[in-house]
Amino acid sequence: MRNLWLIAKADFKNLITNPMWVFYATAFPLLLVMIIGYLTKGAYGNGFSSYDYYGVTLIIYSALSSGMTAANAFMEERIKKPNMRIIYAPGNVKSLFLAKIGASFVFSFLAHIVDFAILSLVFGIEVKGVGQLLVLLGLTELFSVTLGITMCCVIKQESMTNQLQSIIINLLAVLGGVLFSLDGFGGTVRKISMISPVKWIVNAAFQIIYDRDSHLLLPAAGFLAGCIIIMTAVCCFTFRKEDCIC
Amino acid sequence: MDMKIKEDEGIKCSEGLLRVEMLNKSYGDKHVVNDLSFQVNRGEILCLLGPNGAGKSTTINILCGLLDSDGGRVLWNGRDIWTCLNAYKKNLGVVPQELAIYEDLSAEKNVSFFASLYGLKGSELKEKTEEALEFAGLSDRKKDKACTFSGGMKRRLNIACAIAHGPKLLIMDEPTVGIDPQSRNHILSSVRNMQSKGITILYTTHYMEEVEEISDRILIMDSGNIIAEGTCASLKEGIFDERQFVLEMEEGHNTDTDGFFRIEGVRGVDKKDGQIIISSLKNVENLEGIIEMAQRDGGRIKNLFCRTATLENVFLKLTGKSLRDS
Repeated sequence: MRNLWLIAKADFKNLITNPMWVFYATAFPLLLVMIIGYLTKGAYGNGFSSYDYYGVTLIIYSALSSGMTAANAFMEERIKKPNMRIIYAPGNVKSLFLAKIGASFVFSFLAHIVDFAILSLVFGIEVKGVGQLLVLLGLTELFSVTLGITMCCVIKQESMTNQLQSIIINLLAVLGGVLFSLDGFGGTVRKISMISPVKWIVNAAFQIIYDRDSHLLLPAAGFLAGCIIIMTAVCCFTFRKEDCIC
Repeated sequence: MDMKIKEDEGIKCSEGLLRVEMLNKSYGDKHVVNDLSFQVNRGEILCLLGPNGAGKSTTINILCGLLDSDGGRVLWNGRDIWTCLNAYKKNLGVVPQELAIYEDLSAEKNVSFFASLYGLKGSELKEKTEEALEFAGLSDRKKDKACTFSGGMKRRLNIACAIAHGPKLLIMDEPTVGIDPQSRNHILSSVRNMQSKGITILYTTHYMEEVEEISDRILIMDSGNIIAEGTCASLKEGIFDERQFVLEMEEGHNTDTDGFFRIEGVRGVDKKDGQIIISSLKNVENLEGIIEMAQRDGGRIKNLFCRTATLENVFLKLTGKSLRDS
């Protein structure tokens, strides 16, 4: 348990001192919201601005992309070698990937909370039901970083993991209406859109903020929590210490 | 419980620190390690030599607890390492061939972090970190990030990270690859220093001169088996039954080489660049006859020396000279 804490702390320090990952987790989502919000502001009314829409959807999109941070924190070349030394040390080998999940989650979650706060202050985006939103965002982050680590455990390669992850996340994001709402494309598209769990997360977030209603939160949170448990089990089953041999 | 410990102590005295018994490892149909058995004695420097694909790395990875074997046992103080893995790992230091350090952390933080994984904390951790850095000659650069270090300094940091927790057995896998002679020299003298402090060392390398310099005992591996074992001197003695006398002759005299074959024990004569190279059986004392023969007809010897087998000769004779690409 002590080693898990020590490894997670070291991983968190590695992430927070890497300018590229700090930019990716904090500045990139802000820029994305600012640019897309600005370009589409004519399509939204005064009561509900483009920033209100993209401030929520693109932060969820960024949270879903946290898996890439996790995959890098786990299997990037310069991290893989010290990982090998961690495996030489006494203790449970599972600490290695659990620490990566923990560190990547805390790093991404904090970064996106800061983003949310900045967007709320600067663009005045509507944020209500903060506690429920944090649960939803937190579970989304945890789902994403666990997905990244699971794919690494299964595929054993960071680059391949990130390529696949990018395809999956972007597909789910487009279907979920994160980049543009699919609601205006008719009933069939709307039904297809509901296949994506991202759509449930986005709808749950808007429901919490604008309707003060959390009845979509439970299924979304339940789905995310279930996936997290299953993926962690897959990690335990597929991670082998010899994968750390460089 | 006390009885058990005493029994184990007894085993460790008679059986060495680490004992490998009938170790096997295959990847698919390929047997990488075949019924490998050897022992690492307490306090010795045991060098493991072998060409590429000999199974050295696989063996080392099994001994480090990084890889499971398909069969056989590794005994630490008489106990199977898999039954006391954490206790075994606490006493084990590993210097991998790769630089297993965080490039973005300072030398001090690297050593401190890895040592803390072995349960060290507080003032003990600080003290051991300082000691390891001092030992590696990095005390004056301890606050600098590893990415600012030269290749040799990184190698030394790699060693410091492996020894800070005070291991009893240190496994070093090619620790001097790609570094300058000064750093190599420092590492080799560190290895001897560690031995004098009671650390047992298992050392793999491709550099024969390193093996000749530091080894107490050598194991030569090929195709997953140990094909020779002994001290450097005993391997050289045991493998070659011939020695070579090299006679450097003064210019202008054409010595008849056929005459040497009449001397007892001479097996071959070669003439090259003003030198006569005579291969002779080791156990036949025939030097006087050779000198006499060389000086016959007015030939004058400028220099004479005896060339004995090098470890490289031994290695090549045992493992063959064909290139290994695996």
